[in-house]
Amino acid sequence: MDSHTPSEDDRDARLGTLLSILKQEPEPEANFEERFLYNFKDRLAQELVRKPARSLLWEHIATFLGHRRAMAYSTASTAGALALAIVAWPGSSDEFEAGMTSAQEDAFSQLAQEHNFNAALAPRFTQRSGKHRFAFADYEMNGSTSIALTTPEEENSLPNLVSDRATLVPFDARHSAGTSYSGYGSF
Amino acid sequence: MSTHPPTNTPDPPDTELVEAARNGDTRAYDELVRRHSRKLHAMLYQMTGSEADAYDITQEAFIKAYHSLRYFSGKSAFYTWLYSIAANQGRNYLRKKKRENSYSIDNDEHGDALEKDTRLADHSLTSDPERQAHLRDLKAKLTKALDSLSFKHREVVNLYDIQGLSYSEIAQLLDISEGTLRSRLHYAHQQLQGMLADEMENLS
Repeated sequence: MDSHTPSEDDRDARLGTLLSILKQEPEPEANFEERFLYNFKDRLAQELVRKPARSLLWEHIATFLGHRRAMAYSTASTAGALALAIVAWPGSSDEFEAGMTSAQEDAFSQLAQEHNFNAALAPRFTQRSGKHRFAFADYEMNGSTSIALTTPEEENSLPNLVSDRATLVPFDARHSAGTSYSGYGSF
Repeated sequence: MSTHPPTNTPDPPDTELVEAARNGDTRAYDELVRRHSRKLHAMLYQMTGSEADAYDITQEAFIKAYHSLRYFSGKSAFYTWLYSIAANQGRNYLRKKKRENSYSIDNDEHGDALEKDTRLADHSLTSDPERQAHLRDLKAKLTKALDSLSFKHREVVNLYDIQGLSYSEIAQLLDISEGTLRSRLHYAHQQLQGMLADEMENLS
């Protein structure tokens, strides 16, 4: 072997030295994990809110069925009827984001206080087929609530609407602990 | 890193946390996020060259993993599975970026838009302008050579030569045998050595 020709190991080492110039580290941050987790929860909650109620309801049914595979035929037919109802639920193609009035913001804060969930997770107001829809989700609650509104008066009295019309129920006993809710409403 | 009060019980393994998260325990998933977010973010930063984009992709990967937990078979480690989700998203990001950059490359005065790459925004450069220019030029050449490799070859070079992971760590992370890894690295090194012969010669 020619003594001037570098060995394969030597060539690899030189290449490694060259490539190591490209190594870069993110700026060190002491509380990275906590900030990241906070952003993650917020993002997940926002995503839940934006999801059409139909797909959320379907996910809950899928979870329910997943936990109860040996379900009786009678219950299965109930689930089947529910699934049909979901299919019949209008699509979200004509849905768009609507603004939130200060009265609605106040109503939401009151609602959050009464039901002990995180009001910092901003609710979304959307319009679909001429109806207003109000939705919020809390990651800790494992779900969301979606309510369609029809009149300005109703929009300004959300807490009453939630307690009167929407179904806020513990999603699952395992993580309810008095604060775990999810529900759907349509009017 | 957890902020929970210290207890005498050892930290539960990932498998236990995954199982709990599957059963609706969101705090178990929180712990998985705390445990792996920093490492995954650093890897994606190296892959994308942008801290903000890496952060965004890492967030997306955790969200996707959360929604797909029921499909996680448990045959590989949770982090391996999470990494594969993130790497796919990183790959899509790079493809998109390449498409977006193609216009500026075509229209760049010097025909080298790579110098605009955020990877070159290195804070460790010395204040010597000549040295800065040399390093910038060298990084551009290295980046160009790396970018010419396929994703799977670039990935192993990134993990082994740049991030300094061991063979066994990479094999586990990518869920491949060490033999496959060595073969990929050997091929990638040969390609890079061909493209960077002058730079390697000047190194001595």
